Formats: sequence, C-alpha cells, structure tokens
Amino acid sequence: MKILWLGWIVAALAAVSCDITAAQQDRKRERRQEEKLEEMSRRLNRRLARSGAAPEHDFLHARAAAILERARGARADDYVFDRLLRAADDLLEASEELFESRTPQRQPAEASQREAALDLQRYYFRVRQAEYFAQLSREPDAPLYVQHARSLYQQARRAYDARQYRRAQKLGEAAGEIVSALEKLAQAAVRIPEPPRLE
Amino acid sequence: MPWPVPASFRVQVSIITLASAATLALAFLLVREVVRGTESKLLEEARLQAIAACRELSEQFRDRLAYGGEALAELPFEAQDISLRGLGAAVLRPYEGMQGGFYLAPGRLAGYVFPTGAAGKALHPQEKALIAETVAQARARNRLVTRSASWNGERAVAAAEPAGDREATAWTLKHISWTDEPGTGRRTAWTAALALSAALGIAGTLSVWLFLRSGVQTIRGGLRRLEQDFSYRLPAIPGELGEIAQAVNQMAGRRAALESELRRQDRLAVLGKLVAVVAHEIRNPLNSLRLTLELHRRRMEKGAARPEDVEAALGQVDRLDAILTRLLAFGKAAPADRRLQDLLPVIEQAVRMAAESARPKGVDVRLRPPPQNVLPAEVDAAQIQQVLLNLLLNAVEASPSGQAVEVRCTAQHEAILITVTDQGPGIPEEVRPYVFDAFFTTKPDGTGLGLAVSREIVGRHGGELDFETGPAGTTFRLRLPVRSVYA
Repeated sequence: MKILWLGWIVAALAAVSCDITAAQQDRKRERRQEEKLEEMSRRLNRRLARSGAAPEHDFLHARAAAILERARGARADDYVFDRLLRAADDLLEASEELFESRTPQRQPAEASQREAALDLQRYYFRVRQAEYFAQLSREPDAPLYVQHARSLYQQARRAYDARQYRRAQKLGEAAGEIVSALEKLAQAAVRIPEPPRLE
Repeated sequence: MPWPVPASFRVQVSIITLASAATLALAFLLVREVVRGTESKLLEEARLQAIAACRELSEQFRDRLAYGGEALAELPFEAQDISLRGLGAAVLRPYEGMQGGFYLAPGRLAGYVFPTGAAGKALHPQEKALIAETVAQARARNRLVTRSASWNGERAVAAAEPAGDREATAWTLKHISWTDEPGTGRRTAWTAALALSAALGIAGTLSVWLFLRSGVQTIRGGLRRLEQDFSYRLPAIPGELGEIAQAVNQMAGRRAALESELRRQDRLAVLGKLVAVVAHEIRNPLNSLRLTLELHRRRMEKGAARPEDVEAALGQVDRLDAILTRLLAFGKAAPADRRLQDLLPVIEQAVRMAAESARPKGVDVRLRPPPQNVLPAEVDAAQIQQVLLNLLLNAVEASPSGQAVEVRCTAQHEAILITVTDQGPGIPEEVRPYVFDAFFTTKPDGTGLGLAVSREIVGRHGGELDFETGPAGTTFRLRLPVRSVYA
C-alpha cells in the first residue's frame, strides 16, 4: 500500500514537474521573443534618431515598425514571428546600408570595380525576384517595396557609372535587403490563411 | 526519230501507275524528312534552351547559397519553396515556354515555376516522370544531362544539373511546339498538297485504266461476236471508246450492206451466165431430143419405130429435168429445216452413200472417228448431206483406183470442222480461182453447179467452205458454226 502511495506521489510529482518544465519553456520562449522585439525596437529607434535620413528611410523605418507590430501579434507562431522579425531586420539592414552609402569614405580604400560589378550582378538578379515575392507576400504596399528596390538599384548603377564603387555596393546591398524582406514576408504569408473572398 | 513509247496499253498504264506510286512514295519521304528535320531542329533548339536555363538556374542557386544570407537548408520546406520559386521565376522569365525548379533530396520537387505559362499550372505525371529520370541521371553522373520524351503526341525535353551540392538539382523542361517553327504551316500545306496530287494521280490513272480495260474488253468481245454474227452491234460505251465502238458498228453495217450488194451483183452476174449456159445446156439436149424425135417420126412413118429412140428421147428429157432441178436449187434458197442435232450420223450416212458409189471404181471412202462422241450443230441435215455427198463424189471422181478418200470431223471453237481429202492429182493452178463459180466444170458431163451450190448452202448456214490442193491430193474444209447465225 505504501508502495502504491509512493508510486502515485512520484507520478504526480513527475507530471507536475513536466507541466512546470513546459510552462518554463513557454516563458523562456516568450522572454526570448520579447528580448528580440526589444532589441529590434531599440535598433529601429537608433535608426530613427540618426540625422540626414534619405527619403527611402521613411518608408523603410515605417515598414519596419509596422512589421515589428505584426511580429508582436504573431508570437504564438514561432515560424511567422521569426519570418516577420527577419523581414524587419532586413529593412533595418537596408536602412543601414543606405545610410552608409551616403557617408563619406574613410577606410578601407574604395572597393575595386570588379568586386562592385560582380556584386551589382547579384543585386540585379535579386531585384528581378522582387515582383514575384511581392505577389506572394500579400502585402498591400508590396509595389512600393519593389519600386524602392528598383530605385536603389538604379542609384547603385549610376554610382557605378560615376566610379563610386563602394557607394554602388552599399546601394545595391540596400536594394537586395528590401527584396530579402519581401522574401521573408512571402514566406510568412504561407502560414497565414487567406480569408475567403466574396464572389 | 519516233519517241520510244511502248505500244502496249497495259505497259503504258503500268508505267504511269508506277510513276504515280513513285511520286506518292517520294512525297511521303519528303514529308517525313521535312517533319523529321523540323522536329530535330526544334528539339535541338529546345534542348539548348533547356541547358542554358538549367545552367543559369543552378548558378543562381549556388550564388544564393554563397551570398544569400540565411542557409536554405535550415528553413522549413515551405520557406525554401518560396525562395526557390522567386529565384526560378527571375531566371526563367526570359525563356519562353520554359518551366523549371529544383529537386531537393530526398525526392522533393521545390521552387517549381512556369513564368511564361498558364497561372496555376501543375506538373503533368508524364512531365514528372521525365524530370525524375533526368534528375536521377544528373545526380548519378554529377553533371548536366538532357532527356526527351513524347506522350499524347507532345514532345518535351528536360535538362538537369546538380546545383551546388549533391542534395539539390536544378531542372528545366520545355515542350516542343510546331507552331513555334516559322513556315511550318506553309510547308505542311505544300507537302499535303503534293501527297494529295500524287494520290489523285494514282486514283485517276487507275480509274482510266479500269475504264479503258472495260471498254477494250467490250470492244474485243463484240468484235469476236461480230465474226460469228454480222448482225450483232457493239453496245454503247461512253467517251472516245464509244466513238470507236460506233465506228465499228458503222463499218459492220456498211460491210453487211456491201456484202448484200455483192451477193446481188453476183446473182446478176450468175444470172447472165446462167442464161447463156442454160441456153447452151438446154439447146444441146433439145437439139438432140429434136433429132431423136425426128428420127423416131421417120421410122414410125416407115413403120420401123424403135423403142431405143423413145428411151433416148426420155434420157434427154431427164437430162433437161436434172439441169432445171439443179438450176432451181441454185437459184433460190431451199426451205431450211435447221435444228440443233448431232451431225455425226449425217456425215456417216453421206460417207456410206459415197462409199457405195465409189466401190465400182475401187476407191475406198472412210470416216476417221472424231474425238467427240457427238458433233452438235444447228443445221438443215438434208442440205448438209447434199454438200458432203457433193464433196465426196468429187473426191471419188478425182481419186485413182485403189486410193482412199478420208473424211475427218471434229468440234473446234464453237464450230464443226469437216475435211474431205482425196489422193488425186490436185486441182490445176489455173482452175483454182473458178472452182466455186457456177457452171464452171472440167468434167465432160458436169453442170458446174455442185460446188457453187454447196458453197451457197454452207454460206446460208454461216459457215465456210474452202480447199487446199497439191500434187498429193486435195482437201476440202467445211466449217459450220454450232449455232446457225442466219436463222
């Protein structure tokens, strides 16, 4: 009888400890998500605080902020949360590259023409994917992403023609990051059920 | 120099048919070559495009792995699929009709896109099979390979190349469309027209051949029948052969009219001759009769009448009667009693009668048994017997003592052929043209009507009577049709 009691107590403790472990894991996950959101918000604020922002910055920061909000609401789905957070990250990266493209060159030396040409080839191909990801992303302002990506690539091409190879690389990188953000949004959209349409 | 065209109509038609068949065969070969050439050209173009697109796809995949930021393999399949679809769409958009994607081990197709195709198109099972086979080959050989396949009258070519690592393989697929080839429709129309014209040529030649063969057979059969029955006329035939048939009919009509006229003129000529001969023939017995009767009167006046004088007078009267009887037989057709009967007994009886007459002279008359048991013919038996008897008695007269007269008879080609052969000295050459003339005779007591009457009787039966003669004897040939054509 004692053994039975002892067994019951052990089983109950194990169950309780499992519940405690799952709850702890959920809390840990939520904490991690909160930390990521916090970090991303701080990064956004830092970007917003920087002076001399280009016209594209407003769009990038506004979209990053909106996506962060969407990520905050999608914490229940790790995959969607991760894709949205990475999309916001890509947009902030684009903002960073854009900012750096406008800062005067100090060190290291100007990038070589060959490297810039190869990079621009990659970014060109990346920008060509923008429209496809924009269709899949179901973002209402997806055409604006495509438009900014194309615009930044054109600026990069002009910088290349002006022999400003580092600036060309940065602008191209910014265009590529916008397309990456669209790609993440498209990936996130796969898990979001589309509401039925009224015929 | 005349063109060396074979005269035979059948050979000509065969040559034309062979030429048409050869044209059709050449047209078929030409069409096949055109189709094969166009197909192989299109296939090669599609293959080169599929290779180029596949290479670009795998290059971009490798670039994505090297510079694309986060590792694809760490993403869920749906995310990988979307990233690869974006990559594929950018690569394949410039390639019209090209579809493609990636094969991710173990056995998943990802990133399938068809940028220039119908939206929402799914891969056909046959397409999947071709892609799977091509990808398997590319993975096994670790290099780019191409494969093509056909189904439901469609042909497609696929290319696959390992992309970056052995776990991912890029593939492309393109269908071959005939409408892609400029001028295909025009070429197809020309070749179809060529084949059609060759087929029409053969059909036309065959129909002409059949029509001509039928017409020629009709004319040939009609001409054969005309040989037997001159009142027969060829049936109406359409076209140029009909004109020939009509010309033959007109010719036959003219010939019948000419023959009738010739007969009439013959009769008139014979009549004139007859009058002269009759006058001569009758005058002689009449003079003789007159002399005999005057002699008898003088003897009666003297009271010494002799019965021989009366007998002599009666003999002259009999001679006159015989002459008149023969003249009557020659002058008008005896009422015919033609019916289909066995001619053999008629021949046998004539032979027996002639044999009786020939016995005193020591000439043997014999009948060679025919190969057939019966010799049916539509004849007047009495008239034919008269003809045979006439021929036999002539032969007996011409035969030296101790020789034989041989009679042969047989059925040949719808006719009965009877020959009477003697072993006499033959008919002198200068006499031969007049043998059948009336009142022509070489015998002192002959009337010259026997053979003329015989030929007349045979002619009325639609038959023929002629002879061959030489130093070893003479043979008279009597040919009678089985069916009388002058009924």
